[in-house]
Amino acid sequence: MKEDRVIETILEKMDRMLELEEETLRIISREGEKRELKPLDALTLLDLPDHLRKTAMVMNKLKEATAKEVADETERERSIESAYLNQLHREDYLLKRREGRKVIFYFPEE
Amino acid sequence: MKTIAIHSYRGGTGKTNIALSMAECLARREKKVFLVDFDLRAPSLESFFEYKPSYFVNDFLTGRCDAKDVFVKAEGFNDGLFLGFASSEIREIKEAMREDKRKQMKILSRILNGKDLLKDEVDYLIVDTAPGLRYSSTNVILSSDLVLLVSTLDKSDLDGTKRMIEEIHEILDMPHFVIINKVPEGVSGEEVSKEVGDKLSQKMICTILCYCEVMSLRGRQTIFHQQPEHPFSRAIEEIVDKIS
Ligand SMILES: Nc1ncnc2c1ncn2[C@@H]1O[C@H](COP(=O)(O)OP(=O)(O)O)[C@@H](O)[C@H]1O
Ligand SMILES: [Mg+2]
Repeated sequence: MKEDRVIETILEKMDRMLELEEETLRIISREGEKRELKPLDALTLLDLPDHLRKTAMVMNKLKEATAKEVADETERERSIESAYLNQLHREDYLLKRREGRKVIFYFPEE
Repeated sequence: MKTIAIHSYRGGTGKTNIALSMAECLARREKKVFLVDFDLRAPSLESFFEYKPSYFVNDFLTGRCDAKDVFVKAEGFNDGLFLGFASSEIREIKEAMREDKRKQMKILSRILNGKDLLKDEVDYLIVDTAPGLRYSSTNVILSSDLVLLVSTLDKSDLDGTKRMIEEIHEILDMPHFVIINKVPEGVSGEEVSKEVGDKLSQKMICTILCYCEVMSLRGRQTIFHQQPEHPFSRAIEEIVDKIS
């Protein structure tokens, strides 16, 4: 549907804005490029707030995914998953990279 | 596929006997059941059988084989029971007990992916766990659809079970039931309810008495396998009715 496409585009733009904001914040706070990721092990998962735990569990399984792919597993809205994934990223549980129009969340390969 | 974890606060409450009996019960009801020993600290499923598996659960968790490679078909169980054993080598036990967060995160991921691989072929995945709150059991609880908590009437056992429910199962919104095992003969139902308390009573699906016949089999066979009409076996049927 046409409206869906419009919403999708707006969401992508919002993602991009969020990213820019993060980049700016990072530059301002002069944080190093390489930040140490925190592990998402079972006991850490138990301490996460409910809404983030579901997202984190799916990421634990998929290892690398877009918000859409996570939403397919959790059966929640893509935009909601995008917000949760970004929160996990800001709290240093996940890495994030952009490939064209897609934003991919992932854990680093060992 | 339904994944059921058999867990307890303390050791020796009867988890392994109940897990194996439930698995056999479901297999007799024409279900395809995978039973796996996740008590990596003190494996005990192997003592009931004489199989020499090519791979142990430990091999799966460390990426040395796939989930399906671990399971051995049990002979004489209606062709419906498959078993996954844990290694009893001290080296493997030590390795499995390492509380390294990153390693445990990888293990949780292997469990979640392994489950996905089995889900279309299996009706029930029953997981026998290590008692208490350690990584091996928490990983399993997080990956389950239902947790059965086995407790005796001992005060510390009941208190610990209640705390675990409040701090884990309720927070995770994880479906769970309580089984009270080894109830001494002559203790009335009322007395049991009083000991167990309101909170656990609401979740209690079965009480099983203490039977010397169970103990006399010395962990080599279940009474369920040997005597289908025994009250222990009937209790298992009752549990299976309630969870299936
Ligand atoms: N209802 C029962 N009556 C008597 N003995 C029991 C009963 N249930 C379990 N046992 C005995 O208790 C011991 C521990 O049982 P087990 O199934 O190995 O527990 P867990 O796996 O929780 O450590 C075994 O010796 C077993 O025979
Ligand atoms: Mg046991």
